[in-house]
Amino acid sequence: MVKVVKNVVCPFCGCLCDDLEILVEDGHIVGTKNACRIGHAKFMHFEGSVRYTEPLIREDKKEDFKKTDYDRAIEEAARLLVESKLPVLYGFSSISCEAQREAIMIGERIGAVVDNTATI
Amino acid sequence: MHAHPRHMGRYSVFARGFFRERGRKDRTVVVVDPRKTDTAKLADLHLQVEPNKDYELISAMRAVLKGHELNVDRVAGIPVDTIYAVVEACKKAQFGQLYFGMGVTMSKGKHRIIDNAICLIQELNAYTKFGLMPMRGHYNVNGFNQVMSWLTGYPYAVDFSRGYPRYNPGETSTIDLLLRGEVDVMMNIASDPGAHFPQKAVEHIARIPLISIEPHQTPTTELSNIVIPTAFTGVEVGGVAYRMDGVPLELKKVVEPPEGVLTDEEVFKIMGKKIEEML
Repeated sequence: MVKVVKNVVCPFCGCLCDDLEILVEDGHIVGTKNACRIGHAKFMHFEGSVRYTEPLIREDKKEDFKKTDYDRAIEEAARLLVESKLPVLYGFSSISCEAQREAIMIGERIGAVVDNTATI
Repeated sequence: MHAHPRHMGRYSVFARGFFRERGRKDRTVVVVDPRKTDTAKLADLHLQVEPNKDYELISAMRAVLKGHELNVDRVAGIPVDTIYAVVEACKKAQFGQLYFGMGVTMSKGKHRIIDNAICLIQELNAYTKFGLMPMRGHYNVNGFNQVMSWLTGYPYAVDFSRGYPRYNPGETSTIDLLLRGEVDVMMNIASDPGAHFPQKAVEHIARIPLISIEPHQTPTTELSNIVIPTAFTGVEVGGVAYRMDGVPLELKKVVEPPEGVLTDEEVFKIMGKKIEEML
């Protein structure tokens, strides 16, 4: 059964078109309506790239990644940030405002530089 | 029109509205671009400015607006008669809007160009209603600037290292910090500096520990020490985002994220708690 989800806001560019219809079958997106090609690709997950579903970690950048769990990955990330002198938190433009707020609070706590893609 | 395919149709050029019943026919489109782009082909006037000469063009427009005469044949490669015509068209408009992209902020002169453009828009408001809006690439660039502004008073490039927020683009902006080699740890959230930053900045990223909060394999995750995947906001988790004109919209959750994958918000909440324990 194909279910149609109406009035979906497109999470690709700054236009945030809010008239998309997404076709969902068995919990998977099978098609879109009204979306432009870029928005369609975002929903259909076309990027042709690898989706990570588990955190990865490595000591040396020349080594291969090892799979790990969220607890250890976040713990190690937190340790790197706490021990650093001038950390930079960069990006933020493809996450929700709620998540941005949490990240900015982290930046304030550790004395980081917090910057987003508007900088370039 | 390629980066924001529905912008012209839905919002700016072809959209029919209360004051613009005939859509495109009731509007004048001026495109400033060194190349003859597809957008430029649709325009009424195309100002084919020479690369890195935007500042000169804006200054010339401001001079003409103030009633000065231009004593040259061309400014920035554009015949002065065209500049007179554009300024006249802007003055006569009922409501004008300047949409700008990275050409204005990243060519020679950087933020000083947009500074000059803001002055031009201010001066045009002596004649008519005129505004300007950056064409946001990602969907929530504006959202971050809004959140950052109500938390710290500054939109981006905020430095907390002295214990209070400081803002000075060129000093506290990411690329400049990386070029000067001052950064010792970087956390990258849902973006791809490895693909978009200048070579020298990427070289410094490669030297320092890098944490990526990112669902996909990208050039940046290849440089990372830690990759923390998250659910796609707007597809697998809801949330609020700001449109480029500052209107907040609620993103929808359409499908479930892959089993066990956390959201960005959950990751930052856990990280915040762990940092609190370590400090």
